[in-house]
Amino acid sequence: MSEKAKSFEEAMLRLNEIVEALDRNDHDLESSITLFEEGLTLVKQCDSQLKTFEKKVSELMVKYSDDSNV
Amino acid sequence: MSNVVWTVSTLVNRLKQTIEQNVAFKSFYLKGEISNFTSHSSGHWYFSLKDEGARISCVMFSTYTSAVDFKPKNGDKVLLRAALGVYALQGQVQCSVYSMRNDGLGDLYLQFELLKKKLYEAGLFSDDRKKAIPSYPKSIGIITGRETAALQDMLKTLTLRWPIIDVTIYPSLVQGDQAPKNIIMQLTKADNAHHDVLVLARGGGSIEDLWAFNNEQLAYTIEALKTPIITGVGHETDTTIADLVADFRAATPTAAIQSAVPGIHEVEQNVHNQSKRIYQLMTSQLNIRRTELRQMQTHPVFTQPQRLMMSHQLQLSNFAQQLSQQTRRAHTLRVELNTQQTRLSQRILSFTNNQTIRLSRLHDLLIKRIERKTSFQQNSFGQLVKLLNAYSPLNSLARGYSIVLQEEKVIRLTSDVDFDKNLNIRLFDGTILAKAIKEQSDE
Repeated sequence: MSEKAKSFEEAMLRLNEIVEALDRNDHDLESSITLFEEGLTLVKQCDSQLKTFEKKVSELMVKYSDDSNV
Repeated sequence: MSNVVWTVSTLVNRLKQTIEQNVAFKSFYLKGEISNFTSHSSGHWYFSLKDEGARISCVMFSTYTSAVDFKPKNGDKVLLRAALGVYALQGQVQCSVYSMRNDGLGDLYLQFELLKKKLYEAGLFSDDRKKAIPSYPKSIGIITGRETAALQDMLKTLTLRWPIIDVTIYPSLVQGDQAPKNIIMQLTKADNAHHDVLVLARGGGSIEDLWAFNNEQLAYTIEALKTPIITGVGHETDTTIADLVADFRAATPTAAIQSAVPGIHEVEQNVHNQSKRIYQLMTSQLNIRRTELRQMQTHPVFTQPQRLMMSHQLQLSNFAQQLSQQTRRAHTLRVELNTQQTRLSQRILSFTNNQTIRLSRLHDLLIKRIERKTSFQQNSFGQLVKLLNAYSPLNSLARGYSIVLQEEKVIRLTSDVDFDKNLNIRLFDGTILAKAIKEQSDE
């Protein structure tokens, strides 16, 4: 889980897997808790990555719209 | 010589067939001078074409006359393309004319058609030889007449449409005998300068004026160019060999420039639209991802994690319930056991009581029996004792008798006595030690 930082896509895929796995609720409690924790970690990671992307897009828009308006 | 008599109709029909079946008469060029020209109100033209030695009547139907760009008059020398036919009613051989040109041009026109055919067959006009025109050229070479209106128009168009391009002008003769050679030289030079695109152009003029562009060597030069080339020669209606070989044929010099370069405002607009679009796409992609993430974030597995525990809790409470059921059962059993125990002990108690009672009865009975028996025995015993008492020496002793013992032997006879030894005399209440002195006679 804590090996290399996953890319956004990978993290979303993994998150989806976890949600489905937890939704099926067919794991023992220990592994469910482990998955739950990993899921929350991924949510946080994805959220922060997404915020970074969104911020970057707005920054780029500002930067390049200035240029193109010259 | 045949003896058959023909009717006029037969003759004329045979003539008509003979002529109309002859391939050579189906399409040919014919030159001569117009006479007896009549333009009918229907739009059809009727005239004779003649030369020094002959004449033939001609008809040109309105379908074709509309394409003739001049008004013919008697005495005009013209070049026709026609088919030969027979007008049966008049028994007259006549030409059906499809096109008409001024004969001054007649030779040129023929040459053009021949060259066009030749080059077509050589494959010079084929589409797969044509190079693509670049969308956003950075440098352009223009081959055209020096200081001509066409050049001015082209430069003006270029400035308006695509001012960011490098322009190189290759001034050339564009008419006259020297023009083809000059154009070829400038084209080759321009081609070697590695422009993105070339434009070969000339303003409008007569067919003779444009004739330099119908040159075979020029055609092969254009075909061999490495740089894409656009032609714009003359007006809309003029098509030269150069136009046919070029990668793109524009109708006029200005149109050639329009085809060679994009309009900068359109491009700007396009870039603007594209940038808007990529922003929208990017934003929408981010929004999609954001929504996806939110869906996962707000999924019950995260918002109600206790759900994870629920089945386990359920199971646990199930177990607990089962356990409590077991406990209750154990309790019940315990109670039952106690009851049984109590009952058992009561039973035992009552049993032992009974037994005790019975035993005591038996005991009593036994006692009574024994008592009865002992009393009986006692009775007999008492009598025996009485009897025994009666016989007992002790009684005799009590009545005053004594027993003499020597060395534990009862002395009944005097003779039994050893005078040397002590005697024991037993009295009722004790024994005395005595000594026999002598035997005495009782008198």
